[in-house]
Amino acid sequence: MAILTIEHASKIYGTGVQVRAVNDLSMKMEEGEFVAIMGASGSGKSTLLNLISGILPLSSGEIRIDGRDISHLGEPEAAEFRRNELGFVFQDFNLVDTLTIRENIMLPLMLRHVPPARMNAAAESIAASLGIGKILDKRTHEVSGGQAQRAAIARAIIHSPRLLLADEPTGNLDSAAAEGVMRIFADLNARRGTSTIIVTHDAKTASFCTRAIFIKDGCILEELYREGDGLAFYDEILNVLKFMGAK
Amino acid sequence: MSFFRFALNNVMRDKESYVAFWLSSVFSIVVFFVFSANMNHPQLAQSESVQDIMRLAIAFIAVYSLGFLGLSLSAFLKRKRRLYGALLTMGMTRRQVALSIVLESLLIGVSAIAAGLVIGLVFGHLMVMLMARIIHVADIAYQFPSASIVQTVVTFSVIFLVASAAQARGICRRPIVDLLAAKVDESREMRFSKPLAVLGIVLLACGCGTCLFGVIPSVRTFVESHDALVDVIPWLIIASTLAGLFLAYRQFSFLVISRVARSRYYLREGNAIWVSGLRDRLKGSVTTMFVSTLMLTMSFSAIVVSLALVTTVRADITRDIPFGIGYFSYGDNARESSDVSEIEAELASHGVAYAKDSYGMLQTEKTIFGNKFVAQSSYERQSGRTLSIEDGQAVDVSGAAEPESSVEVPGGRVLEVVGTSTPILDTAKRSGSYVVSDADWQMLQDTGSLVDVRVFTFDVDDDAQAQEVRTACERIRSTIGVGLGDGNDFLFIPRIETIFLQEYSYEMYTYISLMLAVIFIVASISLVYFRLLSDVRESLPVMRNLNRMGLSLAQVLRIQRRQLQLLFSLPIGFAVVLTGFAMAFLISMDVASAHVYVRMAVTMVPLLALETLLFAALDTRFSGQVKSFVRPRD
Repeated sequence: MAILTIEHASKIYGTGVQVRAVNDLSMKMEEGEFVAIMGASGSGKSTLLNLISGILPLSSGEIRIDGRDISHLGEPEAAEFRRNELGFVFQDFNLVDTLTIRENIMLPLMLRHVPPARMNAAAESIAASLGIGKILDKRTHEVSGGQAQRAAIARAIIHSPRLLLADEPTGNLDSAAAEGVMRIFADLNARRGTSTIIVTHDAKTASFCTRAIFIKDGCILEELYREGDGLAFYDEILNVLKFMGAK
Repeated sequence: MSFFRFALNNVMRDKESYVAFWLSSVFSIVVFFVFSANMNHPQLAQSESVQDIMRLAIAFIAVYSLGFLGLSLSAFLKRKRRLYGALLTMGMTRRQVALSIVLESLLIGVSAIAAGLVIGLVFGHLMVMLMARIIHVADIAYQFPSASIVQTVVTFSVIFLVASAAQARGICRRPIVDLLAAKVDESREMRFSKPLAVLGIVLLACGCGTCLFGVIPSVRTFVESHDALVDVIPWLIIASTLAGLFLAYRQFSFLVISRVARSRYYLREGNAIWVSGLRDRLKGSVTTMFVSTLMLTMSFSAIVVSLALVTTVRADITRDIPFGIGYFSYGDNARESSDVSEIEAELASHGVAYAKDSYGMLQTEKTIFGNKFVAQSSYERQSGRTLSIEDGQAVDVSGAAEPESSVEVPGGRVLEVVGTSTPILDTAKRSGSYVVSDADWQMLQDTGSLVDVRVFTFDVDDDAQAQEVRTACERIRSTIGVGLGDGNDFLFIPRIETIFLQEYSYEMYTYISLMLAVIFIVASISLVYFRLLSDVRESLPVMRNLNRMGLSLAQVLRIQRRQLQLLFSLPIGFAVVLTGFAMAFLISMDVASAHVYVRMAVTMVPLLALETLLFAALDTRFSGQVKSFVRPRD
């Protein structure tokens, strides 16, 4: 069953000089898939992520998540949809620095008025599974980048979203931390079947996914499905990127 | 890029941060200039009281501006610490960093001085004319205020230079690592201290409670019987209220926020965001709220008191002096007949309509002190009231709250005091005044041991014919002299003299206090504005993420508004309460009556409406910023 269906989606910025950031893009993503969206800066990949999450309105086309058309939701409905159905991981972690790690992880549950005891139990359980159980009461500036990003992932999945969206989740991490974070994403996908879309320009990060979609000028240029091991997939991705660069 | 260009860019590209501070400085400069123009105007300068009061006012503004500027610059620079740390890391010398800080502040200063002078020159003469009207100087000539321009430019240049140099020195003495360090969690520098919290409450209660000393008669009597205590009380109130308020703000805001952070409320919706933000910036927020409360209290008190005094002065004096014009003739005053004729002639020649009456009064001594006795028929004619007095009885008309039960009169007799009634004498003379039956009064006069006083009253309308009555009385005064003070046997008391004198001083007080109040209100808004602006800027990414995570824009704005509401409304609330206590103090000191509360309520309505409008404006502005940041362009 398709968790995400995009049909002829377009996004045009500007009124005078118009920029077509996403251009008549169509794609489908099955439930439990782990998809990487790749492309150079300005290719439209972050715009696509904002369209999928309902943060940006479509200029034309349609986007369905779990069968529900999110293209024409009003602002409060779109917010409620994101609150209940989506999880977000950002490149710069975007943890609230005035809160502790525990409070940051609990934030989506606070927005849903979950009782404090259940919030605490959920935060502790998820933090333990991500290896950050011992830093729950620390502040954001007291933890490493990798730990902060794990906290951000914990925050994104604590409410068991239907779709997990990550925008350059390894962009601010060193290679070891980046690999650790991607293993978490892959593990979540494998064990919990969490449908995940990761926007990245890093081939190594994308190689953890099961599918890579390449975008250029707002259109899908190429798609790759992982069939062998990660290393082979990584090579294939690099080849496409070389091809895109040459083109 | 030159340092000048660098400093100019820093200011011009962050106008939003500087605008409130700049406006506040402009207001201070305009008011300083206006006071200076009053002080230096040759016609106004002839009045020593104007000179003295303006000199005091401009000195006050200079000192206040130095403090306010230091506080504001410190807030600006705190936000830019990391930038200066980065500049030092990149190889800029400390001297260069200091220079850029001073240049930045001087740029703001020079533009504020220029704007202040332009506004001052436009409105300055108008304000000089207003002062001339208050002190009754006719035909005020325009005088180009060159001396005031020089005084303003020099004073504020020095103020800006000193304040910025001190701040620059503070920044440059810090180690680079400190400047580069991540922002400090201010709540960690604060601990709740029970003794300090209790001390704060005790001091605040002591300050506010002392304002009410007049409510308890025994305390009032005790205070009034100790002159030193009367002198010390205002300072005691100010010191204990200031210290108490600061401690209470600091300790209880920390306590309340810590409690809230442990409550269920904290974990609901986005409350954790604004509460934790407030907790982390608590030290700065407390200082802002404390200073803002003080400024608003001073403004509100000054406005309420000055308006209350100006609008009640005539009514208050009419209550103190129940007759329009009084002529008190003591013993064998040979001038009595000619003086009374002179009064009537002058009133008539100035077209003043009057009704003359006269009655006899007996006094135990030829001063304003001692007991005074008026016959019942005379009193009833003067006051329009009817009394029931038997022989051997007296009615107290001194206005005392607790009259004596009897009064001793010559001849070894004691009259029983059977009640009280409205005074007919002025406040200075009314103590010990009694109404007795006509027979007793005659008997007292016959003893020959009391001073015989003939009182002539002239009922005039000194409101409708204020100018005519005043001119006539000035002529009479110049002809007949002062009276008892000059060794003569009379007292000439025109009510209009007191009214004009009081109106003069109250209007001058109002003139100054309203201008200072405007400075304080603008400064208070400037402080809160900068604090809120910094907080909003810091919280923008958080707000955007909350929106992405599923909070609607309306919910995000509600979270943002809560912090704004607290920082904005808490100082106003405290200021209103403290202004109420300030009024209570004035009542205790007999400077104002309980009517001042009505005036306060009436005055507070437009002031609070103004504050509400400002809140709405700030809320709209900040909400707009959050909206445009949270919602990407589409």
